[in-house]
This record gives sequence, structure tokens and C-alpha cells, in this order.
Amino acid sequence: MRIVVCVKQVYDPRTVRVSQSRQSLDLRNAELVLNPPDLLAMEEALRLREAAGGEVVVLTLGKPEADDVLLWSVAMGADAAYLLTDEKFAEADVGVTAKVLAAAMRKLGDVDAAFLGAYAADSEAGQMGARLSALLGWSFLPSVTDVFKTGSNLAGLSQLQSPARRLLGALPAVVTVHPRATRPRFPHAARVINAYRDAKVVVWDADDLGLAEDELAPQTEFRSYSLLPERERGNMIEGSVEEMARSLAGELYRRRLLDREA
Amino acid sequence: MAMDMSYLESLQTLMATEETTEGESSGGIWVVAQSTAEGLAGWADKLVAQARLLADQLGAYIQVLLLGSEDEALANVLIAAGADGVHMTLSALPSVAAVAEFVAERSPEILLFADTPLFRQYAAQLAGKLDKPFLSGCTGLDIDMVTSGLMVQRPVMDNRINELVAMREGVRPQIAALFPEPLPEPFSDPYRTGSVEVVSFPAGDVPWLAGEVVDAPLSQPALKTAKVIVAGGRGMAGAGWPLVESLAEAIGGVVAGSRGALDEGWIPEERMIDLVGQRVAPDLYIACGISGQMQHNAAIENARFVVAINHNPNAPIFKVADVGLVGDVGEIIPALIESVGDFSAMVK
Repeated sequence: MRIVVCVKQVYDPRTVRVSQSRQSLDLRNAELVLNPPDLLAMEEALRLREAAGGEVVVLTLGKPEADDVLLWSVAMGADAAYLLTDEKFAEADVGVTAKVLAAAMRKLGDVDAAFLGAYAADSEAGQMGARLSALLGWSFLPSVTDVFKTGSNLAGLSQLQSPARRLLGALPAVVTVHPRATRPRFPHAARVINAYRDAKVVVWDADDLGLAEDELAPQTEFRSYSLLPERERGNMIEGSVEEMARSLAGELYRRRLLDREA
Repeated sequence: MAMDMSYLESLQTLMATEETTEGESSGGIWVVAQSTAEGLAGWADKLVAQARLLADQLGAYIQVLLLGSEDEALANVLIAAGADGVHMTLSALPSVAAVAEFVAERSPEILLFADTPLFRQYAAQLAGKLDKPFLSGCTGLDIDMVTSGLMVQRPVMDNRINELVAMREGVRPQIAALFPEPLPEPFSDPYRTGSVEVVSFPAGDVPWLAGEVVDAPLSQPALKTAKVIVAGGRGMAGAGWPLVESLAEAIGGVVAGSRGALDEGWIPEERMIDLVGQRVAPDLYIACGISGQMQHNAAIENARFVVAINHNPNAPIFKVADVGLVGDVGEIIPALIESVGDFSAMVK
């Protein structure tokens, strides 16, 4: 099994301040971290390697300093690390990012499975795995836990619907891992030190991936930020029992508090 | 009022006719709606009504692809909410390739989905297949009057700020998924007319829709690190403690309780939320039948979103809650479990 894990470096939302006066994000004290849902993807991929053999390759698209999340992944147990970086990627939206990742996957060759976190904690689009599976024409196992290999298939428990469904997808497959699938391992200090001292990160740019300029043109553009209404305590939801329940469930869902979404 | 509206709409239809030369079902706005055994998805007509607001700005028609039903009565509900045409199929979720072909043939300007977990993944695969932009997690939609393109508002950074994102000029179709709740009730005009037809797709749903149903709850994390906590108090006496556990299971939360719940013997001491017990900081804390003594409320002050359900509107818990529901926990919790289940996917 050759498993690729796609990870992303993000600003830890807890360290990002919202500047009320400038109606924008204040990133001065923000910390860059490995996107937490991707840790679960790493963990499930490592467990699959432990059970089925093979290797785990970690991949990220980002600025040069994004090699930090690759080194952490190597400390967790990844066998090889690739950084996809190019100034031409600077404006990449979800669609472009998916194309770059797909191109890297093709260049790597012989990939049996791609593992991704369910969403990125900063942009929260939650669609990279799905897009990638469509671009590559691979099977798709969304929002799964308990992944294992059976014959030439991957099996997993998809939490996209409730109750969960047992899914089977022919290899190669794209797997997005449910945010509560398991607990990611925390590497020993020695492993971290070794990774940061010795690990090799292969760097690929747009030319290496054979990506032309027009393929890298984003189809969406960020315009501005706007502030959310201030947190108000003591809001009461009113109506019939059903209306209250529905309205509350909708509110929790919209705030991504139901923990089911991919 | 109804007269005025239909006059306006006929005017818009007139304007749209002048602009659209390729006939009714080409271009315009397409909405994907859904029906299950339990009827039309609760968001379906609301989503159509939101599309209507965009359509009126563009002078465009609205076509609906209704999945999972060939019931004309349901189609008429969507027409009353603003659709000009409904295309029904019994397919629950046709293969992405088939729908990609369907969409490509009709070249919509905008393709709109409800942002349920399932449809987000579906739309993302479709967007990947078509190599078109898809904006998920939207809470607002608008038209940029300069480019006639779609603009959306979506909360990011853990719901701390909204970003405004626009589609690049000229890209079609523009695919977006709008959070289905909270959307306003649609204005329903029973005199609106529209076309209804049955369309067919090759047999076979998307492969990741079906699958053996497995009842395997995810394991419970520790209280300290729990992202979601459902806590009960003495107010659960009438309705029964198991409701708290059922709600926790339904939303993937950890069970805890107040001092009252400990006194009643419903929770062990290490599950008590109190200044002398556990102080917690989950993303979501739901207090069921907890009145909210100072000792309790101080122990949850770092919770990010607090929901309180209590029969007493003057209970102190409502002062620290982001959202409060006054009523009988015995009625509200079962209704909430049902609604939460609905949001996980297919049903209304």
C-alpha cells in the first residue's frame, strides 16, 4: 500500500484575533499549525500502513515554511515528505489546490489511497477530498472512521449520514477521515528532533508538476471580511417544541457543532 | 399584495424572456432539491425562495432538479415558492457523471445546493468533475451587479468572521451550497405556474450513498478534552435521565451533570460540572434541566457556545447561555434529537 496524506498548514483559529475596528483578521500573534483534522488523517493512514504494510507519503501545498507541518508528519511516522510550493500557487482556491494535489499524485505514481482531513480549520470548505476523488476518478469514502483494507478494497465506517454506513471502495481511493475518528499520536521528543534534523523534504513547483498557467487560474476571489454580529448572551428561541428544536438544531449545524459534517 | 407580486413577476418574466434566447430550461438558476419517503426536504422550498431573490436580480428563470420523487404535488410546492420549472426523478442521488452531463447540457448560470453534509460532498465531486468553482458553507448569496456574478458570504476561522467571496467573471456554472438553516419561510404563491417534467438518469446512485447501516457510536472522549458536553440537572427528574444520554449520543457529546445530578445518583463524581468538580471548556455545552447555580455557571465560563433548556424562564442558566429554550425537557429533548438526526443528511 502506498498511502498519500494531504495536509495543510493553517493559522490556529484560537490564536487569530478579529480586529473589530479594521473589520479584518489580526494575524500578528497567530500561530501556524498542522490543520487539526489532518492529524486524524495521518493517524488513520499510519494505522492502515501498520496493518496492511507499505509506506505513507505526506504532501502539502503551501509557502516554503509549510515544510514545518511535513516535518511534524514525519515525526508522527510518515516515510517521505513533499512540499508543493510556487509563487504561482499563491492565489490557489479550492479548485486549483485540488488540481495541484492531483498532479502531484500522478507524478508520484502507484498511489493506492489518498487520506485527507475532513476540512481545513481556517477556510472550512470541506470539499478537497471530494474534488480530488472526482479529478482522479478514484473511489471516495467520505468522513470515515475505522479504515481497513480488504482484498483490493478499502472499507470504512462513513459518518456522513446517521446512523453510520459501512462503505467499500475499490483501490485507489480517496478517504476523508471523520474529525472524531480516533486520537492522533503525539510523537516522542526524539522522533521530533530526528525529523527536524534529518528528514528530507522534496520540493516540487508548477513546472515539476507540468502545470500550465491557465490551470492555475482561480475561479473564485476573496473580496473582504465582514464582522459577525456580536455574541449576545441570553437569546431565547421561541415557538412550538418542534420549531424550537428545529431552529436550535439548525443553529448548531450552521456553527458546525454537530461534529458530523465533512 | 398578491396581485402586486404576480404583476411584478410577470414583468420580470417578460424581461427574462427578452434576455433568454435559448428557451426556458437553458441558462438561469438551477436548484437541487430533494424528497425522501417522508416528503419534501424541509429546506427545499426555502432554498427555491432564496434562488428567487437572485433570479429577480438577474431576470432569470429557476429550474429545480427534484431528486427522489415524481410526485407532481411536491413539484407544485416548489413552483409556488418561485420555481419556473421542475424536473423530477426517482433517483435519490444519481451518479456524479450523469448529473455533470445533465448540467453541462443545460448550462446554468448558477447551480444551487443546500449545504447538508451529503450534498456538500456531492456538489464538490460535481464541481471537480466539471472543473467549476464551488463555494460551500454559505450563509448569504448575492449578485455582483457589475459582473452579474455570484457573491457569497461564508463564516470562516471557526465562525469568528465572515468572508465575502465572489466568482470570477464569466465562469459558468457558479456552484454554491447555502446552509439550509436558518432560512426564512418562503412566500408561497399558489397561483404561480411552471412546467413539470420527469427526467431519468442511468440506474445506480453515487456509490458512497448506500452501504450497510452500522450502529456503532463513536467512543466517548474525556470530559476535559470533550468538544461537546451534554449535561443534565435535577430538572431531569420528571423526564428521566436516559434522555440526556440519548441526546449526547445523537450529537456526539459526552454526558455530564450538575451537583443536582450527582445528588440524584445519575452521574459519578468525576462527571460533575462545578467549581469543586470539573471545569470544562467545550465548543458546545448543552444544559438540560440545570437551573445554573453560580458554582456551575462559573465552571462553564470558557465554553464557546452554551445552550440551556429549562422550564423556568427565570433560571440563572439563561444569563450565561448563548441560546435558551424555555419548556419541558421531556418534550424538547426528543424533538431536538429528531431534528439533529435530520441535519445529518437526507431527510427533511
